[in-house]
Amino acid sequence: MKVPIAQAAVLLVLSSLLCGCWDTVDIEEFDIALVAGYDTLPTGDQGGIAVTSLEAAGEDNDEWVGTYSAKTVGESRALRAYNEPRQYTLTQLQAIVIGHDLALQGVESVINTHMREPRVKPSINVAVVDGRAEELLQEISKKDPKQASSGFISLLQTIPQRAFVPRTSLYQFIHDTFALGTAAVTPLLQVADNQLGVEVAGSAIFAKGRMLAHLDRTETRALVLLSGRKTEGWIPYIIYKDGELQDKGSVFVANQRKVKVSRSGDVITFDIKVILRGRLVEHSLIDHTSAVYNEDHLREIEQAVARDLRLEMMDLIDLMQEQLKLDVINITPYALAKWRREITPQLEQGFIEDVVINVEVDVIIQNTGELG
Amino acid sequence: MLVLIFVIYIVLFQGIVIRLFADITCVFMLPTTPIWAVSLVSTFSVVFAVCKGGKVIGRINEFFFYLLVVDLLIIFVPVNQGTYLNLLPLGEIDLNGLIKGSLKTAYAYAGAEILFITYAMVQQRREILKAALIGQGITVSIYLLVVVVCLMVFGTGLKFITWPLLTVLKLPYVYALGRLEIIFLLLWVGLGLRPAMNLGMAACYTAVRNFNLDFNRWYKWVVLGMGTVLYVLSLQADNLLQVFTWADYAGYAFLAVSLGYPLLYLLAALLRGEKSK
Repeated sequence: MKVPIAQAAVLLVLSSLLCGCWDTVDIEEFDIALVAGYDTLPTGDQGGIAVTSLEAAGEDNDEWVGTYSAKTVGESRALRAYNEPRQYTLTQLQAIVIGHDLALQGVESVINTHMREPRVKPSINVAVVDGRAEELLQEISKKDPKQASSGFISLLQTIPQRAFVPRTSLYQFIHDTFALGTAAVTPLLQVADNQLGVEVAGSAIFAKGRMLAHLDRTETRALVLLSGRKTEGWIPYIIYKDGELQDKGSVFVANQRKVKVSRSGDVITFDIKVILRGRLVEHSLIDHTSAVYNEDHLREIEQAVARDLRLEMMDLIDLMQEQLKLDVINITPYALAKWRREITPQLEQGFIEDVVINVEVDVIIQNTGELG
Repeated sequence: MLVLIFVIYIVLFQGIVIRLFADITCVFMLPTTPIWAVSLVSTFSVVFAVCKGGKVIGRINEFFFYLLVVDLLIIFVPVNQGTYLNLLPLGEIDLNGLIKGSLKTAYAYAGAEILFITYAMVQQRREILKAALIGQGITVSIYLLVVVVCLMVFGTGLKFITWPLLTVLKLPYVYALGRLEIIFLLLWVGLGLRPAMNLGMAACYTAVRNFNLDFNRWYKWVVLGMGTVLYVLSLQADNLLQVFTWADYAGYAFLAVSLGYPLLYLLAALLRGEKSK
């Protein structure tokens, strides 16, 4: 086969310019951050940030945790560069944890640096630590030095499949925290009571990049159900009849939400219908004359769950309208979709506290398992 | 003179296309590779394809058209991250903003003016209007789809994002693959340079014909010359914001050329008392 000299020359020049060469870094030369933690300075001084990263295990070492404190996130990386022999990469970053004090001060710098970096996925999870992020990461690293990150990352990623806790991606966090009149919600983590890792203690509410409040687990459940975030989990119930315990048990349900918005003069009314579908997990009848396969009793169970949850939700709505004064259940977009031009200016001055919110809970137990 | 202006416009436009391609490649794929290297390799590809002539360019377009279907499919994946509520109420759309936005996005539709050149090459001219309308319709539909998905997902936050399509593809958590945008970026290497190839062929063909040069002898030299010019042009911007400003101007120029150029010819024909065919 004849190859003209000119074409061969061009090919040679092109091959020398294969631009991937500039970006070639051996994987051994990377420090691969899996979880990044952000705190205020350990000294308590204002205006700085402590950046902790939980990094992937190398061939000969375990996963490890390192912290650098500086004025900005970028400067912490510069300090790191003086110490560490390898290149720090965020390509495999899976979660960001924010310390309590920094969350109160504001997390704009953390958000900015991560959304600006093309190699960081906006789908990574964000959580707040009830304490310092550095201490939490050290704790999980101690528990399982070989695979400290995997359990932690999995906890944040999959928790909505088994508990009424939000999974908050970096993008969702940014979107909700900076949207007018709404708030972002992240899981709130703490070192587990049994000191064997990390547990979700509830949730943290953010607006304009600053944490405003904590919610406990029950309030978080109400928030998740009202906001329509897709979750599944167990809910216990107790039925009393004539002041006496008749039945107690639990159901496993998945949630769904429907919102209708209407208006009468200046009063805007939201009708939220929360639908929970699932199965009966357990129940122990005190009075054995009644069986669960009696449909009336199944209705009683459904009503008991719905009643309890509705009370929790009404409490949360009171908290939201009277104290937080922010839409934490993401209903404002429904009003905006109808009266955007008129409502947008009101969002800065207060909108959610003046609306009427009605809640209806519909529980549907679809089966009772293998027992009647 | 008009033809020369048209050629200059195309070469300038190509320079912007190559620079944008190089910038996106550097930001998302090759962050430590210098712009000049990516631009050079891109220019080589454009020059090579244009040298091969209209048939090869046509086949490249045909091939990439089918790859676009893949892009179309993946854009649906992030839809569940957004809400239709961000699109409502339709009745409150700000017409002034819509017109300003349309002017800004005119750049994205540039390239249709290649029909001024390719029209002369088409043998079955009865079909050209239908084909052009279908082509433009597909382009409009794809852009509309991208805009609707991005609006559903980002809402008013869209204005803060430099490359919404790439960012929106990064949002879903994708099991196994990890990053959805990688599919788009794989195709990007081909799709991003395609407009420069089409326009490059149009510019070189026009230049050769306009100066009555021997096609077989001069076409490749003209292509090489054009390649050199557009490579130099692609390196002129200091930063991405400057490139975006130039792209805005290119969009206005596109409107002027695509509407003004045929109108001028029509006017000239009317003045000369001839009916345009």
